[in-house]
Amino acid sequence: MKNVILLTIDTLRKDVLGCYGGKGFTPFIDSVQDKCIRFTKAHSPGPYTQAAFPGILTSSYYLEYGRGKMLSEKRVLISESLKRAGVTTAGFHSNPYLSAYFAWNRGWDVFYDSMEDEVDDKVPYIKAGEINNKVSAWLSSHIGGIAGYNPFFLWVHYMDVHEPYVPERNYMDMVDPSIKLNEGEMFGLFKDVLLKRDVSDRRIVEILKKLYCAHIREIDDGVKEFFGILERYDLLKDSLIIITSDHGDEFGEHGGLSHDGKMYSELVNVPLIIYEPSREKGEARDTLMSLLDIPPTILYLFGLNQVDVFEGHPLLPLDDYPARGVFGEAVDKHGSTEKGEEKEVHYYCEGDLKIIYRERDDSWELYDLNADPKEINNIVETSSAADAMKQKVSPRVRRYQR
Amino acid sequence: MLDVAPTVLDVMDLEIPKEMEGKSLLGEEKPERPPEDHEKMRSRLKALGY
Repeated sequence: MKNVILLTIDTLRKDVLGCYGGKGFTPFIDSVQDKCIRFTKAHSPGPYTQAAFPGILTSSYYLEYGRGKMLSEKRVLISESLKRAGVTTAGFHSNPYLSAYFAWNRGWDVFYDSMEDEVDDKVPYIKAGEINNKVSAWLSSHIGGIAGYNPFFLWVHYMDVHEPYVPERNYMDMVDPSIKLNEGEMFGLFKDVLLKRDVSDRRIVEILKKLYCAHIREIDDGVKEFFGILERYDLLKDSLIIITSDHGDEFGEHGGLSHDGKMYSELVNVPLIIYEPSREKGEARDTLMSLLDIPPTILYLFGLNQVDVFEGHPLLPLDDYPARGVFGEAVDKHGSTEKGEEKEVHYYCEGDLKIIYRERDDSWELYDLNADPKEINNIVETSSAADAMKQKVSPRVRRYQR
Repeated sequence: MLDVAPTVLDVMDLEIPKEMEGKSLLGEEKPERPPEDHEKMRSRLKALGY
């Protein structure tokens, strides 16, 4: 495979994709599954962008190098290692947390983070269509109509699913035409309900989720357009595409909204799909894996040596992937209106078990994800596995301060 | 003491080698950006609900 593309969709829940059992809001992504490996137990190392992306692009955990806002110089971006090896690297996105401001621009030959462009309150990011236009222009100049272009690693990140949830009318109609909210009313729900994490009215929470699903339908068209661009430049057949998300979103499942510092499945069990153009039959894998495995997988695909500080493992070849547990960590209260000292929250998954530690109240939760996939029944007091699971997590709490 | 060398390099605005185990005492916040950059960042994050 000549090129590798990483397509990340911010805030994309796994369960809204048709190929993962969702309601059909992703017809294009579903339609290419015969050429995909679909991982059902992919775990993000954190429930929001700053906690997840160190794993996705540097194969390291959020709290590994302390709590600096800037991307630590000690982390190695996949773009840096690829560029050193002679691979062309290009990144296009519109998430401020991943911008040059926070030093995420290291190692890219081309880096667009949208911070020089204007956005408005109702759509505070550059939409997928415009990101695609920029990618198309870059591809056109890079390949230059010649077969001998330099192999590239392309990272594209879409923000269109992220709040404030003000979808276009035509997409809202595809999800639920009975919802007649105008833009101002949708934005009002963002300010009056979502920002206040108010789940008291289940009917309003359901409307918010439908607005979110309208964005899902919209982003599926964005992905379709992106594939079309690759096809137009005759690049699709030479490109392996990894599609994933940094985290999901909550709609009251555990008493909240959006994506604060919780570690439940709606936030950290994310979609992960690998599109291989030469594949003749799709397959699903239930291997427990982490998004920290993405950078090592990309190095493997380019035939390069692994980077010592990467903490993940290549996902390919599939049969060589070792069975192991996965971790996640974050700072509690992120994005909420609560103030106060920052506290950590951690999780660890092994087999069907998942343990969560919340420093704020020194509490533990243990779930059997097979028997209790919605993580309702905390079995930490009754399970014989609880102590062993706790011992996996305890050494990681505040480890950068020791 | 491990932090002395990285701090000196940071003060001189030189790259700190990844092999160094210490950390610059100046921290990782780079103060050289103009105030409008910080304001723009705050504004963009706020619009996203942060």
